[in-house]
Amino acid sequence: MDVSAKQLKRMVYAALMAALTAAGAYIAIPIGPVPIVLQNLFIMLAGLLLGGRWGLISVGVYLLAGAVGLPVFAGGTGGVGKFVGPTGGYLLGFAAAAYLVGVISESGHRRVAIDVLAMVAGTLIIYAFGVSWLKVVTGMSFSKAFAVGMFPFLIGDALKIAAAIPIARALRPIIDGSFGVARAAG
Amino acid sequence: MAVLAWRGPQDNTVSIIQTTHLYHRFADDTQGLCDVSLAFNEGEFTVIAGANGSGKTTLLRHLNGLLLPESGAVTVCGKSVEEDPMAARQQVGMVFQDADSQIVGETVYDDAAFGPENLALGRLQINRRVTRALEAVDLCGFENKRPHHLSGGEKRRLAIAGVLAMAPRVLLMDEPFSNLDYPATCLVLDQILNLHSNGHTIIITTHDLEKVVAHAQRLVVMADGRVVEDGLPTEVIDGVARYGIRPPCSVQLGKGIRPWMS
Amino acid sequence: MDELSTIGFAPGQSPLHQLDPRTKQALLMGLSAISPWGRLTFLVSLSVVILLSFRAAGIRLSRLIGDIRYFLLFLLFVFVVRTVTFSGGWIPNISVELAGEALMVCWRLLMVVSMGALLMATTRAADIRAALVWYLKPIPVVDEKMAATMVGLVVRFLPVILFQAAEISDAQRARGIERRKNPLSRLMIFSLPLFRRVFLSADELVAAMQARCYSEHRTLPDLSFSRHDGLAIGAGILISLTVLFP
Repeated sequence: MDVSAKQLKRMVYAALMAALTAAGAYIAIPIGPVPIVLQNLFIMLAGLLLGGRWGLISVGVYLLAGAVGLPVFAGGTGGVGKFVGPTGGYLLGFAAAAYLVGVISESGHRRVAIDVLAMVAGTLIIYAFGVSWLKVVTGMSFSKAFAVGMFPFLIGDALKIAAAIPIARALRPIIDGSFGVARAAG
Repeated sequence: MAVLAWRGPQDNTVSIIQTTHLYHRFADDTQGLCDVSLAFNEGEFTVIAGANGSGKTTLLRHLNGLLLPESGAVTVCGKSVEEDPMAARQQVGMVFQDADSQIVGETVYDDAAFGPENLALGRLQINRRVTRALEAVDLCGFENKRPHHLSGGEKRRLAIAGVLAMAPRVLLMDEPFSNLDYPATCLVLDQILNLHSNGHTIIITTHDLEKVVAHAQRLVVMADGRVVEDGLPTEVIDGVARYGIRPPCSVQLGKGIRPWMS
Repeated sequence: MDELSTIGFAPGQSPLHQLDPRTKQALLMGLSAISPWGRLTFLVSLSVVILLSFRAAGIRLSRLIGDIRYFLLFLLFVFVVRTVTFSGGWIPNISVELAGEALMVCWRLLMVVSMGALLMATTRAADIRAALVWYLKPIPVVDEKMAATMVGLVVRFLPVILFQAAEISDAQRARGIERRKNPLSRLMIFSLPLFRRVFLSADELVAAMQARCYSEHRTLPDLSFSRHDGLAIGAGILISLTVLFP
């Protein structure tokens, strides 16, 4: 496979990962009283599966699509307003998290312990951006902002990190394999 | 649609696509194609039949350079596909089996324009080509629709339009009737016949001969990556059951090949 | 889940429809960026312009409200959190001064979101993408043509992925997935087939793009500024200037 075909392949993977991220905002698994929304699981997986550089590109494309007004953000209407809005910080946090998770995971040669560490760091950075921005926009105190913008989600986040490890292990061969020789069906 | 930007063959006997001793091996070391030598003539309507895994799709992907041979060669209009795949892909359009993963554009217009945009044509020329391609498959007025909202038959026709907009001389179609209901199948078949009568060379792969074999001028049968039969449909059809292909009903009833559409 | 937003592009001839997408995006970004400093004069004049635009574009306000209902709930929440304070014990304390300030914050956010809805309702997706390419061109590092193609793919495949997700979820419920209470296995059982399906179809998509001669030197959509765009920018600047007034 020549260079441009590889580049095209990476591009398509990153674009589809971005579409999955967008879909993740709409998909929830109904367990217990609070359904688990899959979006930040998908953000972590973007980093784990595509690596730092392409993970960042993937989330960047998702944010770009939303910023220019295409309907990819949760809660209907997108547009640049979402970044200025109260949840805008989380969106920027997503980009930072995908990059961080990818870079740490790559430098740790995808060992499980390192991957877990990478995702913990990723989760923290999402909240660092998200909660600070929530505080700025709404004028709440930090304790209030943490109480609404972080604590209720932590159990779900731990679950997602635990789920991401086996998911990444199962999917990496598909993605790595397709950068070898392609096999046509039929 | 007429053939664009092409003056006609100097010599009718020159074949438009030729494979010589083509071999292909997959990454997992199974042999996909084994010594395939075929020549397709300009304007010919060929059906390539074979059971699942017989190598039909692999062969199609060699004809426009999506796969490259392990050994042997493929030429399109006398030029090696390996050396210039882009030139081959302009001449040889390919419609995939799964229209859903072939459609790239956000709207019907965007998708039909994807190919000509890749060729870096001017916007006016692109619009002209898109209009003609959508006309050829009866999708005029759908330009602003989203592909996701189209029916299965409309998606298949859009996939064909996306290829026609590149003005190819040859159309490769991988199982063009799979997953279509009866009216949609009739429409797609009708449009394929129109394209053929307009001078396009048509190559269709299928494991189900019923719908299309009556219109074909040539029937190639593949099994285990080899060409096992090649000739006029009337001559080849009686033996196809040996290779895991169901002969058409009319043949089973001893009435020979009859058109599927009344 | 088929339509993500009830306000999609609706063809029309309103003044907003005729503006160049770059103008609309510039206005959206400019007015959003300046809104934190806007007071009553700014908010009222912007509201009037937005309401008139909705009318001209033929979008009923009920549709907008239906579309952003969760956002409105959130605004209500923000309003309450900012207005109600607990001084010492459990007695809520409502201050009029804080309420005025909170109202202003919610109003600004609502304006920004409404402008986004207007942009979407009056601009084709392809034009939004074309404007994006134009804006990204001067930015180094970013390959604007690649970005535009990728954004196009996101828009194309988001509904397909949502459809597949719904299909997977239905198929699993048909086999009694709800009886499994372990959230971890639920997450994996759902996500794995979805990702596997999407990534396998990626290979097919790559082949289809190659078969149609995908190249980075592609024809870009045509855009052209007209007199209307000048007028609209002028109006935008006038509205922006009202931030100078209380």
